[in-house]
Amino acid sequence: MKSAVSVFFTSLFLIFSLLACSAPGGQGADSRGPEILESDPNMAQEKPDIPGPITILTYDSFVSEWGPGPALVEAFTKATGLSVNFVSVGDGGQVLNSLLMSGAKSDIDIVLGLDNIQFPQVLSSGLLQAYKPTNWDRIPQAIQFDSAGTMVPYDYGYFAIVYDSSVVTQAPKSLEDLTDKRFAKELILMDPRTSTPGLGFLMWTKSVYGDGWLDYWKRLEASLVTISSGWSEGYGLFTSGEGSLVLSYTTSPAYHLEYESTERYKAAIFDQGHILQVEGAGILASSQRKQGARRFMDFLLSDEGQQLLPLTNIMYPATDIPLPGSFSIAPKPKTTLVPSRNELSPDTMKATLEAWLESQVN
Amino acid sequence: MLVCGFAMVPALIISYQGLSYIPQVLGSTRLIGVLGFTMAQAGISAFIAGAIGLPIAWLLAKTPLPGKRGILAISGIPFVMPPILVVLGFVAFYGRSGWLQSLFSFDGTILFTSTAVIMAHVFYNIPVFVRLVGRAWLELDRGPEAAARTLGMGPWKVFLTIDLPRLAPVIWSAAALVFLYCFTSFSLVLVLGGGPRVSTVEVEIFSLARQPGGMGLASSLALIDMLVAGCVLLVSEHLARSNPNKLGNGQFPGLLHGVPWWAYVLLGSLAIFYLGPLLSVLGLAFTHREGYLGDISLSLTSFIKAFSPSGIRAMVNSVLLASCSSFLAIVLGLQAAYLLKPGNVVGWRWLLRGIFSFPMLLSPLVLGLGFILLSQVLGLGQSWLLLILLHGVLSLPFVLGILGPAVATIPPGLVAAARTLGAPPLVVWCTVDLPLLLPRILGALAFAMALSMGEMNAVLIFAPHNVETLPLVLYRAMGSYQFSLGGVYGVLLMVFTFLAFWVTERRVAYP
Repeated sequence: MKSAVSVFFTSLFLIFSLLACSAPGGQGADSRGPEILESDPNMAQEKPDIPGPITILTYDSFVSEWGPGPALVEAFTKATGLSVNFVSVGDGGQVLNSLLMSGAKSDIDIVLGLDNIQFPQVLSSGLLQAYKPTNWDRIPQAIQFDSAGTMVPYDYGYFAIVYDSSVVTQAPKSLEDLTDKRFAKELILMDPRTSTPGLGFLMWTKSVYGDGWLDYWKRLEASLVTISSGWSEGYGLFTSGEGSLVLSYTTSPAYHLEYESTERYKAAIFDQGHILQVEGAGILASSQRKQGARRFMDFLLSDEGQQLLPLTNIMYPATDIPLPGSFSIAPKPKTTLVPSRNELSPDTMKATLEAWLESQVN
Repeated sequence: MLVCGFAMVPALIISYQGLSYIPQVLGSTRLIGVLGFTMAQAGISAFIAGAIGLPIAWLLAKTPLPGKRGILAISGIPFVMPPILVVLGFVAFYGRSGWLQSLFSFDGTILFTSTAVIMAHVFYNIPVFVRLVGRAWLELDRGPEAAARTLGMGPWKVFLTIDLPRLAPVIWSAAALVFLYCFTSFSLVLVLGGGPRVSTVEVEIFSLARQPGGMGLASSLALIDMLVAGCVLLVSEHLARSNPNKLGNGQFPGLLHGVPWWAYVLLGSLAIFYLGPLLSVLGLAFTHREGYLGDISLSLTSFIKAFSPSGIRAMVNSVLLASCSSFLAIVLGLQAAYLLKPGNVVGWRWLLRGIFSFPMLLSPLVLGLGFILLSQVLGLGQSWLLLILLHGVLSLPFVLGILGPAVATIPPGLVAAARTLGAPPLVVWCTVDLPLLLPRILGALAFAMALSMGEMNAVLIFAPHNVETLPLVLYRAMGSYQFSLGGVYGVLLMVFTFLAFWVTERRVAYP
């Protein structure tokens, strides 16, 4: 069998020569794409839902056993009789990637877990159809993505560096502090290409350092343990002691207080401000179960749905429902940083991510 | 033939899509760096694995080391051991909160560095050296050595002047194989590398393929991957053929040295190096931790959790996928073996062999990428059927490697005699060929099943959203830091792997 290897290497060459001949002919595969049906904006003529569960594309930690997914679905199914199927693809960055790559062709009805930083990219894709659910009026203007309801906010929080106070005695006070020698090989971050906290942190460094953000990343390098692909991996590494600082949320300490009765993990507050993250859900224009999808959105913003979120997703609810007691441990940032719309535009975002990636060299 | 087309067509599509992006790859300092690192780590890993594997091979060939057969037998396990299992073991054993650092209470970062990647590759590939070189060494003709020893030559000199020149082709071809394994290894680097700083070509292909607009660049990296694989296989093939290895019986008791003291040091440290991570997986499976912080206690909770509906679905999926794809591989492998039988289709044999071995050029991940592109071109979804086909294609070269020699040695006289006596072809095959081939078929089946069972890369990149397999749920459990749960899936995979390996090893000694 082994002598065959050389033979198919020759055949590889044959293939190449064939390729060289056929390459300029090109583009056939692309132009022969799937037929795109003009979507009918008139909702009155909408077809009834096709049978099957409402399919929701989301991130891993949302559907994990301690995440909001299972409880939310149970309550929703009880209230409406409709069933739900989650498709999880990693962290929020990967959710957007999946949506952009195959959203319109798949049987996904709702995408859940995209945030305000990704929103301009989502909007320009034109894949979502606006819907304002019941209780829309109870969402504060400050966390709305747009006035049309292209994406519906369901919870929000502030990115923060969470530290293990049994290891870190002196909390970092700024992004610059993170580059300090005492934090060498202690910080766990997430990949901005695949994770929404990762992207949020990247925007944080851009907001604080402006054009000097890439230099900051260079200074930060010595402090990094790893850049994980998603928040769940990174936070898991942190709690199991692989690092004593992790990118997470100001609300993360509430989890440990609520479920583990410990105040060991704390969120560091930076005077330079924190990036706000609003998480939202949207209905795909290509969905064939829009009625069911809208009922899910209604439920997500209902008091019953909202009450589930703080203690499962460990984020502030989007509506004005009362907070659980453990949230009192979550510090409120003094300043909120908001990246400009221009900075978040698809083109700028692409360039930013490319520049960041180029800087990540071993 | 048709199915082998399924290996070639994806390769064609990848080449077609990737060719125009080659300048972009060459223009990116980062990707050039990644390519350089991939080469460098593969080279270093192969060198270290060789430096440790070679003395062990010497011990096996030249000393009356107890348990030689056992060592040689278990050295075949890495061929079927799922990399994700090694990853889990490494994290559990070498992690900052892992067993090693808690036992010896030192604090250092091993994981998420290039060191961790190289360590895992060495772990994986020492046995490959031991197996390939050790076997050749055992079979080396001892005549020249006997002569040299009579003339008073010491073991070092025998090694340098008599054995090394004869073994060099085997050593180089083993090194080439190990280099290729390390060059195309994926899940080890994905988890142990820790993000974009320690990245290899395969990891880049994966992350590019999952980003909008990244397919072209991913394809061009896959093309480079195939080219490197082709070159390395060509070199290894050339070396293996030029091997003038004369078979001896290797049984010259008078020539054996005593077991040197360093043998025990070496084998002892290797035992820790190997058993540590593997036992850690067992440890994970049988312990339980409450929440992120709770105490660790012995329990079977994780086993109960592992047999949740979704866990069971993953197991069923894995078994189904492994059964269907290995059955497919056997059917095709048998046909291929008959086609390639000496005396059959003389002129075209070289082409046929090339086609049937073609999948070896494609790493599972690259083949997965090719299948994605293929299903896009054909307008198909990412279906189960394609996934089965994918795994079948992946194990075909190995199945053919096991069945080929057996089919070639079926005595033509027997078949002819049966025919003369009037038996129809199918009856002839069932009564003459099948009994002769059966042990090898079973061996190949077990091997193919083990390959498919542990294969994660192709499934990860290609599989439809809702397909979960055993290695995949293990990977996801690790991702969400449910290490005990991961341990259970790891144990299941381990049991299955050992079982399949045992069957293969009993039926055929391969590779």
